[in-house]
Amino acid sequence: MSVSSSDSPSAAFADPARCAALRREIEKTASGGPPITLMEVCGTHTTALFRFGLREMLPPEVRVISGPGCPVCVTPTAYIDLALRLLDEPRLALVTFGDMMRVPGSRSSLERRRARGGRVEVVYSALDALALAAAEPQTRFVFLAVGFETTAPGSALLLRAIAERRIANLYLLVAHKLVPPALEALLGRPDLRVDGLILPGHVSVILGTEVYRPIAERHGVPGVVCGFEPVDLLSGILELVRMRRDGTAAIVNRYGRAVTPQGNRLARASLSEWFLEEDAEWRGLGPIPGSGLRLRPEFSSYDGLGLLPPSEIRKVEEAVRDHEGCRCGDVLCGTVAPPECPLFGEVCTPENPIGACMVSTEGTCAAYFKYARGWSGGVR
Amino acid sequence: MCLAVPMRLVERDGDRGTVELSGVRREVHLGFVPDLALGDYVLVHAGFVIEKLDTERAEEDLRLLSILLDDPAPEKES
Amino acid sequence: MRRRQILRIQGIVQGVGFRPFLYAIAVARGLDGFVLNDDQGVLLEVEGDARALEGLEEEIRQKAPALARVGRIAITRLPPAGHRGFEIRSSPQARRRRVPISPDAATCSDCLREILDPDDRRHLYPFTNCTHCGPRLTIVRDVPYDRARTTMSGFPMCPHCQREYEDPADRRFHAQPNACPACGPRVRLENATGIRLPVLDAIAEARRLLAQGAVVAVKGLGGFHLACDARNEIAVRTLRERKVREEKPFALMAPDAEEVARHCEMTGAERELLESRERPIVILRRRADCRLPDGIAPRQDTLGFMLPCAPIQHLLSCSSGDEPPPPQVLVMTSGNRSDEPIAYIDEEAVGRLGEIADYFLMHDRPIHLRCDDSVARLFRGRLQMIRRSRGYVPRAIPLYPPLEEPLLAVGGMLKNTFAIGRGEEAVVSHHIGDLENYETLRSLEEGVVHFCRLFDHDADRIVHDLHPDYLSTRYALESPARMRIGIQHHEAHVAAVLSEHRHEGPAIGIAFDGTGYGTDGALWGSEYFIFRDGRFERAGSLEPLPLPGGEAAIREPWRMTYSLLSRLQPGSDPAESMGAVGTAIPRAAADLVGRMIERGLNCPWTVGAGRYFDAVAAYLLRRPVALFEGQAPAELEALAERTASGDAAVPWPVALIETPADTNVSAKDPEWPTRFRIDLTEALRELIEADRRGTDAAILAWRFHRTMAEAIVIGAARLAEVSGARDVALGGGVFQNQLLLGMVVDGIQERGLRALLPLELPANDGGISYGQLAAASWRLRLEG
Repeated sequence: MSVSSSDSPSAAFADPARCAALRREIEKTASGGPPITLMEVCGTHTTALFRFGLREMLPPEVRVISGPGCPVCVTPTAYIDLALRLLDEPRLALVTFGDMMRVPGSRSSLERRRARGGRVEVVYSALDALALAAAEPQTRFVFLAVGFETTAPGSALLLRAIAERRIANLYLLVAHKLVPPALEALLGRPDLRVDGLILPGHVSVILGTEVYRPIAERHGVPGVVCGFEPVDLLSGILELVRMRRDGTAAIVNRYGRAVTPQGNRLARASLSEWFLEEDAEWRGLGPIPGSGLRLRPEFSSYDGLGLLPPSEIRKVEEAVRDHEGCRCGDVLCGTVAPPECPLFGEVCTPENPIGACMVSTEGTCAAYFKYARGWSGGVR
Repeated sequence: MCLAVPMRLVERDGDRGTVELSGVRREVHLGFVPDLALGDYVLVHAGFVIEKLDTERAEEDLRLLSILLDDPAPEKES
Repeated sequence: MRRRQILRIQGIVQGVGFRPFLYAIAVARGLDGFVLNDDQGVLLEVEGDARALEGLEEEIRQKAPALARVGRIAITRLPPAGHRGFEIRSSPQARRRRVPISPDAATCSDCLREILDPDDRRHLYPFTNCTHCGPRLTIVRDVPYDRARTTMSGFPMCPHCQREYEDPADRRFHAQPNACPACGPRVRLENATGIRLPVLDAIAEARRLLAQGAVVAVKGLGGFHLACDARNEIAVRTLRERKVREEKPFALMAPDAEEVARHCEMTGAERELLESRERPIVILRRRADCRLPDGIAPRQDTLGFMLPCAPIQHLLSCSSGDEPPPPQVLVMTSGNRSDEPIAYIDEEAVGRLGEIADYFLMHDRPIHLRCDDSVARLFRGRLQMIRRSRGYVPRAIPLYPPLEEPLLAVGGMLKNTFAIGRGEEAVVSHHIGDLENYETLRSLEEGVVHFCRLFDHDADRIVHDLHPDYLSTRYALESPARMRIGIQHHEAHVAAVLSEHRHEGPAIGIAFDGTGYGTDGALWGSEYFIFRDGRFERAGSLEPLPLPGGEAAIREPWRMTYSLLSRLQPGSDPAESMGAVGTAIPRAAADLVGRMIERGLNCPWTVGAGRYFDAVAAYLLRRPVALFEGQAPAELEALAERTASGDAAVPWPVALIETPADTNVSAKDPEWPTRFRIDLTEALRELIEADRRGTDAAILAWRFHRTMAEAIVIGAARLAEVSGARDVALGGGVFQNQLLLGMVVDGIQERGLRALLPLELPANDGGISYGQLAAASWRLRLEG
């Protein structure tokens, strides 16, 4: 038992001397060239960039914007409304990760609903739902299965346990999202110019690096898979700046200690065992083809939606209402910086979030609010 | 949401294992990364291990980096 | 001969009337120059005759305004610059946020006089404050501290208030929350569904409703209180039923110390604490002739009283005009349902408390930070903090040894606080609560973000407990920190006491509490340490007992009675010898516990001293379950206090059993077995024997306390022999038991040793975060 992290394999990736060398090299490579816009699409990257002040270390030619990196933030309003509607059912409890509690639905949130007596259990692991269901056989539990490829295998583990142990009172309300189709959609947008992608570390642990290759080739945009230490991010940025200078568009792995070309095959296999890809709605971005997961039809008995009559589901979906003035959609695309939203920091704060990007601690707006208080000048 | 914490595997029993970080031990599911030895560093996300951290590869990456940067080879990290 | 001096004054010197104070001094001494607030505190530049400068620093220290805490004063002497006249200059733009925010302070006598003066423009105005009093921490949104960054930003000052605010000679010069009836916040009364009632004087109406027996939620400084007339037995019972707070004592509020003295015994020091500007709830011994209903604090011989800390509270018990006299003693319990955090936002309060309160006395000055009342009592004339929160937080506490790099400590699970450590200081947060649900966890998360902003801290290095299931530990492991340090729970308890005393060891540390996670994954809780060279060596404990059902055994202390009996009388059926408490337990439940112990199923071992108290309390009180944490031991203490012959009672035999010398005992590997274990088997056997003979339970309770004290003292004495240390630091919730504490302190002194007790922090888990900082600071020193 001792002071941690000093002995973990990641420690050397925070070394200030290496950071300084990388910073000089980025400056040298980018200087005199055209301006370069890079995009990261991972909430943990968003926070890491702020925490280490990495944007301030970059030369004026290099700009990093934050894309849709937080799966909580992109969960559509309708999903929250449906979850809240489920709470109207008798003897039913929701099980969720804490991040979801404050995501605004049309009229309420899980947190507000819980304060008024709705039963919402907060867990750290999908598997925690098993103990809850076992302790109260008379209550139906619905696990809110949200998250990217990193989190979805946990839902698959849960499904496997439900099936093996024949648990009759545990369901999933599935809204898992897939990153590569979203990248594809973003790069296809005419209003967005991106010169390089900082690819998400832990999503790539599952997916591997190969899945990104077709996207890079199709759009001529290079990508680097990065870890979360300053050296990881800076060396990734250097790699992207060099590829841009050399006119190449490859996929490079700068998080080799955790990411392999093929990813975690067992985890990926578990996803196709239980789920099918489908078109999905992203809050702020709209529908994206093939970007979500749903339960395979043979497992529909585990689907939390099955607890509501279809007419009720339609009724909820028709009544969905989004907030006016909120520019989360543009923030998620990286076309607008949080302070440019009229609600940011005044009406919309982490204590009282209006838009989804303010909700999760990893949301772009929340990260701006927390770390970049001098944003009017300091952050580009 | 996709945060994963590097922790060290200290016990295992089939699909179940115990990992440790700064004196704290937690139970995790090892189903997706069965090929692990005690003492390995693993990435833990929401109660399950998503990958083993490859220490050799980490050192190799650092060596590669110093070549990229034309730095003298850094002293070996403990 | 003219001279010039620059005085850089640090400490709590902003927002407390410091500049007008210096202005007055300078003018009185005939000095020229200026004063200003900057990012480090106050800068005073004065020029004048050498004699006029004499004793300036002393005068500043001696006469400083009530809320100020003068820290370091650095003086630079320079040649004269030709200043003419003295002025208060505006502050330069702050770069770093080093300036401490002061705690909320109770209404001062000047403001109170204005409120009660029919000719004053603030007559009966419930938001009256000045630089000496009023809300601070609870209204601050950001730093530097000025009105625009508080929840007063929505109330532009009227010309009258503005003049006070700008006049250096005025008591309200730069009083950021300054307000009056013309421009400031207003009160309103709402019913349980949030509908505003059409009344002219909301407070007078609230008084009337309270007198009639209603439950009124009152918005105070740090959150809502639930109030009712304490003399009205039905109102008290109604509140208790609605709050689902089965037996936890309610706090009371009286308008002044005279009223409190009608119900409780009070020493001069207790009166002072009650009247201090921190205005904690003070635990006092109930007078024999006190006629308040028992439902306020069932089976306790103490009551918790506080005096009003905000004008709205003062006004609740003032009668005006021809009104009938309002209730003089009010129940003022925190506005929450059982285990949730106290409500502090209007809309949320109506939602959460609507089923408890009949009415809401609200106002439109938002509370930014939720902050519970502090709770304290005196032990032999010295402060014994039980909950350090409103009124004390965020005043810094010295930290020893000093830190080279700032640290954040996230505390334990029960009575959670967090703490930020920097250099020689620690800022310990307000009371967050028991981290058992999502609401309190969020309260911790938001609190950390807020304090990090106020104190310019980046939470990059986190100290935490070793218990994997504490939500605070999970929070620490999953937050993106650069460094994490795990600190064993009881080491943190002892480190806290040592740090408050600036003790660098060697010392003996004794931590007695319910349960905490050990470095070996077992449940510790009666820990004897030797602390030297910055390291803790776990040197002893009580004999381990099985904890049947884990957490369940804490809610059902009878399980510990059963567990204890199964150790005392191997072979015989414990259920048969449980005495009166046994009859209250279904046979099947007892058998189940028996099987759990026999087979070791869900039966972790514990040495938690609190569990020993549970076992004996359930047995002697004949009550199988506890309705809140620590209830059984508190009632056992109350029972013991009832005996008259207690002083003569001697302890039962306690055995200190040395463990074999070849077992590895080192600071690096403090696993079981330790140097010794203390065996209470014989003592407890005698207790049961005496009970069967029909000895008065109160006497047995007293002797049990004596026995526990003896167990602590002989352990301390043994370690003093082994290590040569003479000082014994006592930490952990068990030491809130004043009967036990008194016996332990006396016993330690009788053996020529010195007892060190917590000073400003609680002995319970509220002090864990601070102790984590101190223990981590030692460890970094050793490893750095």
